[in-house]
Amino acid sequence: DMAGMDGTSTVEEMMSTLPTVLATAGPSGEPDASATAFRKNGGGYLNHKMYFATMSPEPQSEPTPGSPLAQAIDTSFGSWADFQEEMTNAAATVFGSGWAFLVLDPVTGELSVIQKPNQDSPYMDGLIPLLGIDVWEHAYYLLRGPDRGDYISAWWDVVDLAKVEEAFARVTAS
Amino acid sequence: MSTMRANIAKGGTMKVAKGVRGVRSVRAKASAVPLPDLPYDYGALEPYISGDIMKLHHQMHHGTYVKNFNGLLEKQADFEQKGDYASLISIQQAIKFNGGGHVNHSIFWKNMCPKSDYAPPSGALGKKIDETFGSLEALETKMSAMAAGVQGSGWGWLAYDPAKDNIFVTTTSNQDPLVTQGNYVPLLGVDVWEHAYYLQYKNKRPDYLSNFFEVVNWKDVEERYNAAT
Repeated sequence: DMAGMDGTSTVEEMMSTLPTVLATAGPSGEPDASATAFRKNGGGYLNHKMYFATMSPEPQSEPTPGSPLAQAIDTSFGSWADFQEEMTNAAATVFGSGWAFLVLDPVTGELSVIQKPNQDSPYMDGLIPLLGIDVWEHAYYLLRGPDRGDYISAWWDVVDLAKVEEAFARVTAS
Repeated sequence: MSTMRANIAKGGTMKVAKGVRGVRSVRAKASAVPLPDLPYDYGALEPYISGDIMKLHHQMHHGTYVKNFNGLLEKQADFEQKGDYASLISIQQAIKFNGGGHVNHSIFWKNMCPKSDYAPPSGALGKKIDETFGSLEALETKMSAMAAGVQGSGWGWLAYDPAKDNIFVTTTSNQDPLVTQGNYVPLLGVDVWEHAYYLQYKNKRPDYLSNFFEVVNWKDVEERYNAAT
């Protein structure tokens, strides 16, 4: 039985205990089946929740100048443009199904861009996702066919930095 | 004059002692891998797999794997020529992705045929399927379940294990070729990357799988089995 499945932990907390649970092999050497299912569905739930929450038909396309998020991006990446390039490249080079994320390391306070396969969540690494782009084929295939690059460009047009700033304020306050 | 030079002067063949290497070309060349043609028209598998999917799948997806694979093979030959083994190793993941994509799709196209040419398995393979799974239907149910359960992108396989002389169903992720799991022979593969079905079946992977089994070219699968056994 998985740690945290007693109803008192958040989904995020449970995701962060997963690496330990998954690494502990059962009697037959197989990883815990319920943990694997949770990784897929819990991760999928968290990832898509954030994905849809950070897009908008009338988005704020860049961080507010001088805001804590803008400063953190400049510190960690050099500039907004540098961050965009790194995020775009990470999204474009995921092989198979997965995500690219802008994450905050709560220990160091640093921002970085990471890739994750399938529906794995950055919470599994102890990182907090602030922004993510789904690059599973289902995210773009019906509208754009195989052209992932085109989809990534279009995604930047609907990313709402106001939402990301809100999330950043929430996680840095705690 | 040595015997060798005498032979060359006479216009005869040059006998080279064993272990003596010929002159290496200045720049090592890798031979280009071609994108194989489909054994049928793009629309030939309809209504089970749409012509739109087959065209995109072959030209864009398999085509891109071949293009990338060729570029990587050239780089690899170059690194090997220069003795830059660190760089050679650094591109192996990409070679597995793209080369695997080429290997897997080359099998896949041949594993299918138009419905009008469909015949269930017979002969030695037919017998082995019944012995192992109980029936063709049971094999299809098991293989569909496993392929449907692949998380993210990957493949379902009917495979042959030469060491145990048995056939079994398994899956691989992304474009990993079957051999990455062991010394197994791929008999039948089904692509469960979303690009293989999304335009027609949306997220209903099980529907795609039951339709896939309507167009399996069991003759091709039998040939692979017979070649391996």
